[in-house]
Order: sequence, then C-alpha cells, then structure tokens
Amino acid sequence: MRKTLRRLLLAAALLIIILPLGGCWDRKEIENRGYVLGVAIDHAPAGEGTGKKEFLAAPQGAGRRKYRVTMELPKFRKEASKEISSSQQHLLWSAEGESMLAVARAINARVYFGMFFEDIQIMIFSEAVAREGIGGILDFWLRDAEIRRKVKLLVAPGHAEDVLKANFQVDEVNSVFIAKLPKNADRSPYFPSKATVGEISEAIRAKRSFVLPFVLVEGKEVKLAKAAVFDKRQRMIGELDEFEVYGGKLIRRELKQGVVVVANPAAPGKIAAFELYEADTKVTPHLEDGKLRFSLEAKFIGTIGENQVTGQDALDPEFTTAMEQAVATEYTQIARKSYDRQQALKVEIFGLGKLVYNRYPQYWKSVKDRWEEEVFPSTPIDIKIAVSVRRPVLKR
Amino acid sequence: MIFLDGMVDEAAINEHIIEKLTQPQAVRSSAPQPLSLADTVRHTVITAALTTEETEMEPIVNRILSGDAALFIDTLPAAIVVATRKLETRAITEPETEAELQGPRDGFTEELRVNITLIRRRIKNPNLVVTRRTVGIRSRTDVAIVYFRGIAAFKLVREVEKRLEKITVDIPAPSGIHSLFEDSPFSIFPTMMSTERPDKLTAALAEGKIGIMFDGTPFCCVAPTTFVDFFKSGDDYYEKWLPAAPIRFTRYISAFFALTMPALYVAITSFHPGLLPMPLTLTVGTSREGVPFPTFIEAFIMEGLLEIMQEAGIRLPKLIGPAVSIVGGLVIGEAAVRAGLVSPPLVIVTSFTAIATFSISSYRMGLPLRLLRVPLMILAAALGMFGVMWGLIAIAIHLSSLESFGEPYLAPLTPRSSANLSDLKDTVAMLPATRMTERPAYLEPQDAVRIKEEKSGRDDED
Repeated sequence: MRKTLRRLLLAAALLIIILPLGGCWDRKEIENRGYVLGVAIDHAPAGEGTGKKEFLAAPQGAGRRKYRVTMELPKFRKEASKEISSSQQHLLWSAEGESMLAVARAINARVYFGMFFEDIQIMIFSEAVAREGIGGILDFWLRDAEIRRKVKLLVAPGHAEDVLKANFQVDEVNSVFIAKLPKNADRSPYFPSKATVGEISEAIRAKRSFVLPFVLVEGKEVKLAKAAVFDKRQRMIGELDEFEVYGGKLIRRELKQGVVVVANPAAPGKIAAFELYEADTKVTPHLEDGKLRFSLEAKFIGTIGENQVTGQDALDPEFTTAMEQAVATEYTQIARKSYDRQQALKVEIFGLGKLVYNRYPQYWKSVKDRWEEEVFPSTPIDIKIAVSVRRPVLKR
Repeated sequence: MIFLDGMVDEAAINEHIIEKLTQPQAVRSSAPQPLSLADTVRHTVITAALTTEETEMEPIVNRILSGDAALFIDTLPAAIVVATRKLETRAITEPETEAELQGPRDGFTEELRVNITLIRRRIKNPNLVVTRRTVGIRSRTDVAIVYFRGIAAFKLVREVEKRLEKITVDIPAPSGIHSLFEDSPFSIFPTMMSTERPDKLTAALAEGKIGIMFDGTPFCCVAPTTFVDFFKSGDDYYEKWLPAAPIRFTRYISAFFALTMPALYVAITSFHPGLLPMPLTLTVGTSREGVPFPTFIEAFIMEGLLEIMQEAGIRLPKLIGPAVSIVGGLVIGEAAVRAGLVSPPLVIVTSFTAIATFSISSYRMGLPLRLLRVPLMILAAALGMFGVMWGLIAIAIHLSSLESFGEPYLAPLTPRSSANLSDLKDTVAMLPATRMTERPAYLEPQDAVRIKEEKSGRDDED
C-alpha cells in the first residue's frame, strides 16, 4: 500500500515537473495562425522608391530587394457577414527581399498570427523569375519542415501576384480553386499535372529537367494550360503548347483519356471526334551498333465521341477504318511534334532516359552526362499507333 | 414462542403452529414407537415443512432475526425453530441499468433466495454449487458463492472464499461489498463486474467464472472480470455474429473516443492544425474566431458542464429529467454558441464524447473513461499530441499491470501462449457461436470443451 502511494506521488511529481517544462511550447490556437494557401513569387518592381516600397522590404544584411513574395490567406469571418462578395474571400500580404526566409519573417512582423505553411496549396512563379531560375528560391520551400510535398508549382506569364489578386467567379479562395484544377487532368491532358514540390524536388536532385503548367488568368477566369520547360539548372528555357503537352503525355505513357478532332472521312468539310478511353503504350529503346533509337508502339481504344455528319452509318467498316486511320495519323503527329520540340529544346522530360538505363545500364553510364544536350536530340523515334474504334453507335 | 412481527408469515404461524398446539392430539398414538417430546412436537404436531432443533442461544437469535419462529417448551433443553420466514420483496422486474434488446426481461432482485432461484431455473444441473456464508460482523449479510463444479477452476473458488473471509467491515453496504475484496483498490478501473442480469451471470458461470451474490442488492459480482467483459453485451450473442461483431467493435471505438476525443481536439487545434485537411482547418478556424477562451479552457468548461448535467440527470426524479436535457442541451449548448462563448465544433466534440460514453454497455467502465478524459486534456493542452500519447501509454501500462483474481486484466487480449489464441474468438470481434467450441483458456477451466464435436448438445448459452 505504501509502495503504491509512493509510486502515485512520484507520478504526480513527474507530472508537475514535466508539464510546466513543456510550457505549452508550440501551443497556438487554431484561429491564431496564418494559413498560407498560396504563394506568388515575382521580381520586385524596379526603381528604388520610398514609402510603401520601403515598408515592404525585408531587413537583410546581404542581398538585394529582388523578389516580391505574396501570400494568400483565407479570411476568417463570422457567419453573419457571409454575404461579403468573393473579392474579400482572402487576404494578401507581400514583402520584398532576396531571402525567402527573411521575407516570410518580415511578413510576420506585420500580423499577429504567424505565417503557417502546412496548408500551402500552390506556389506561382512569374515567367521572369522562372527564366532566371527557381532552384535557389525553392531551397527554402523544400527545407522548411512545414511544407508538404503536395504543393503544386505553377508559372504565370506576367505577374504571379495578379493570379492571387484576381477575382474569380467562384466563391472560393483563389489558391484553393486553382489547386483543384488538376483533378480534371485526365480528361483534359493539356497541361502537366505532376508538378508538385515533391516531384520537382526529385527532379532537381536527379538533375533532370522538368515542366510546370502555366496558369493563365483572364477576367474572372483561370486556366491551366501549356507547360514551362525547365532545364536541369531549374531555369525556364521555353514552353510547350497544349498539343505538345498532350504528345508528351502520350510518350510518357501517361495518357489515359483525351479527345482528338479529325476531319470527318465521310464528309471532308465536317469534323468527327475520337474519344480515347484505353491506351496501351510501349516505348522501347534499341541500341544497334552504338546507335540508339526508340520505338513507340501504342494501341488506342476509344469511341467516336462526336460525328457531325447526320445520317452517317457508323457501322460501315469503310468509315470506321478511315476514322481509325485519321485518328492514328493525328496521334502520331501530336507525339512526333512533341518529340521534335523537345529535341529542339534539348530537354527530355518523357522519362526515356530511365528506359535506356533499365535496358542498357552500361551504355547509359557513358551517355548520362550528355544525354539531354547531345544524345537525346539526335535519337530518332519510330511511332506506330494503332487505333481501334469500339462502340461506334451509341445514337439512334 | 418468539418471533419478530413483520418478518414472519403470520398465517403460517397460526395455521401450522398455534392451531396445531391448541388442538387435542389425536395422531400421537399412531406413531410406531414413542418419540421424545421435541421430536413429537416437530414431527407430529407442527405441520411446517422446515423445523430444526437448536440448543445454542446464538443460532436461535440469528434465526429469529432472520424471520423464523422459535418455540420454547418448558422442560425441553432446546428450542424448536420453525422456518416461517416471509419477506416482502419487490417483484422481478426488468433490469434497469443494463438494457438489452433481445435479452430476457427478468432481473435480479434484492432477495438472495430469489436470485439463486433465477440462476437455478436456468441451469438445471446438480453441479451448480451454491455455498452460503455471511459477511459483516454486525450486519451478517448473506452471501452466496455460485459456481459450476467441474468447470470453474478450484483455485479460483478458493481465492474467492479466502477473500470473503477476510472482510472485517461490520456493516457493509450490500451494493458496495465488491469494493471490499476487489483487486487493486487504488486503480481507477473496475476489476470486478457487477450485473443485474441473470442471463449474464449464467453465461459467466458457464465460462468457468464465479458469481458472488449478496442479500440486499440486485447486483451480482462476477470474478474474475477482465477488460473485455465490460464491452460485451448479451445482444452480441442473441444476434447473428456478422452484424454483432462490428457492433461490439464500435463499443471499443467509442470507448477510445470517449476517452480521447476532447484531448485530441485540444491537441490538434492548438498544436497541430496541419493534421486536419485544409478545408476543415479553415472551418474550425472560422468558427473559433472571436471565442474568448483558449481551446483547453473551452473544452474544460464544456466537459464540466457535461458531467454536471449527467449527474443531474441521474439524481433528479424521472419527471424532471427531460427538463435537464432541454435546459442543458438546447439552452446552454445553443445559447453558448450564439453568445460566442463556445465554438460549435467543441459542442459537437463534447456531445459526441457523451454519446460515445453512453454506448459502452457497462456503467462501471464508463466512469474511469469519463474521469481520465480530464488528465488527458491537461496533457494535451501542455504537450500536444505528445502528451496525449504519453497519457495513453501510461493508461495502457496501468491496464496491463492490473489483475483480477489472479487473472491478468487484459486477458484474453494478451494470450500467454499461442495455444490461448483461440480465446480471441470472443473479444474485440467474435465468431459464430458454433465456432466457440472452447471455454476461455485463461480461466483454466476443468472442462475446456464447450461444444462436443459429435454431439451438438450445448451446456448453456452461447
């Protein structure tokens, strides 16, 4: 009995000692954190002014006032005032400086709630920043323990800040809305969908080039489209248009769905659309006499999604065959165009290097260092796409 | 003749004793051989079923105190004690504290003999042993130890007897006697189950456990009791196992949430909002906006309110009961949120906690969970999730160090060997009744087989 009592006392004493030692170390009420949802990184406007600009500058011992970082935070408000227009859904804070950390802390001096990065959804770079290189900027965002791997990276032509400032039709915080857009990437494969901090960090470490989607704002609308191509030094060197991204996905074996519109074989003035629903793509590297070439063989199965010639017998085998041929040609062109474009840009983001490594590891070792610059741009590819139309008639 | 008015059956005394004694003795001569005076009176005059001859004063007094009549006859050096006991007892009613949907509707009463009858009626087997003794030096409360000879381990029976012998309290409260011989009096967890349901006790006896019944309380104790026993309900066995098993599992889940929900809420909202999905973070953050107290204080106040309301609900007469729930639930909950004193998510957390507590079938198990919530909340407020885990680990360590009548408290969740793994069939989840062919091995029953392979006859419930 006495032993139990002593144990109890000991436990109580431990509690009393430990609890104040912890001292509610990290305690911060949920409403007192600044949930950063989106970050936009621009170049700071040129010209050293006074007033507001001085106000925005982050104190730094070294470095310039190079970047302007804008953070988007949700606005907490009581239910009663819910009718406030969507323009006031969010709060924006900006600061300028070269060090991301200094900038983030500079904002903390202006709000009582500390900036909290665990809920960041997107990070937008302006094209100018992207062309200069994002590797150095990303360091802080990869280093910070609060950042999640899932943060989506985007590039904005013009000012990145404007994307966050835009007033969309939907009643949602801009960053949250934009972050949800890639959910439709399978159906609309016109922008790179695997562009998260995690993936890009892997690419940076593996010294691979990568692509980020563009985010375009027009009026009350936003759109993800095209791709900004980054070389292995994380500098943007060019862009792919929407079909080049489409073709890129095809060669990367990531194409699952998608539409191609071709001239209708039955009536040349009209169009017909093929909707892909099953793709089986195989890319094989071949090394013959020290010369590398790729062959792409694909079997695409889909349906005629649209046929604007009324009264056309879709079961007519001639029509179907012509349709299949037209679609195959179209797909081949799309893939070819993307391949050529990347050869011209001297970047390879199809993941073909991995295939070469898997099949010819010895050879890969010898070309690894000059893969993108020399070897890939001179490697040909054979593209053989077979299209099969199933379920041609769904309409009576 | 001596008897206590009010405890005896007066009609029986009139008819079987006084009437017979005052009548002329006609039958005496028919006896084949002459009897002693005492025997004559016992066997030929008095027509009561149970008579004994007592020569010592103390048993006579005891018998009179229990409601028998003692007949002193001049010149006879003994008293004839006639069993004329008649107790006014409550009718057998439905057990109120342990509701079951499909269970039998009878419950134990305050009268020991009735309770034993309820068990005997269910198990018509001479091997059902009932040994009686008294507890309490002054109160001499009757106690019956019930077990199944041939199933219950002998050492277990001996252990129970030994512990009952050690009780030296003069007048124990009948419903509280179990706390006098329970293991670990300093532990917050109950190590002995008390049940109002004869079917539950019968099932326990059939497993090889021992029932201890006290006169004056409808609650019978079951020894040993392990942690999982508190989460079993008769309904688990009355329904098909497939729906019953997940329902039982939900009781464990709700026990976990009843214990940790406020603590988790405090820890997550004030330390780790990153654990919540982003939209939820914003919703909770929005609703907390403008609430004057930190989450911990808020949760603490709500927890206090909940406990007060629960207690008020029990103590109040049934007629005023609904008033408490209206004032407590609607007025305080709604008004506090409207006034901005409490955030709506916390009201949800608190009510979920309360409901989760109610779904644990045993009231005795609900109490420690309710009580342990507060220390966990304090740990959460000071150390965050680390503190909650710390507290849970401490509770787990404590649970695994407990014992009930020599059996580990966490048995059969922690089997001693792989041979005991089959005990798990009836713990957190359960298997069909026909697959529970063995009694729990941790009880070391003398007859381990419950269902014999060739014969489908079962001993009892399943």
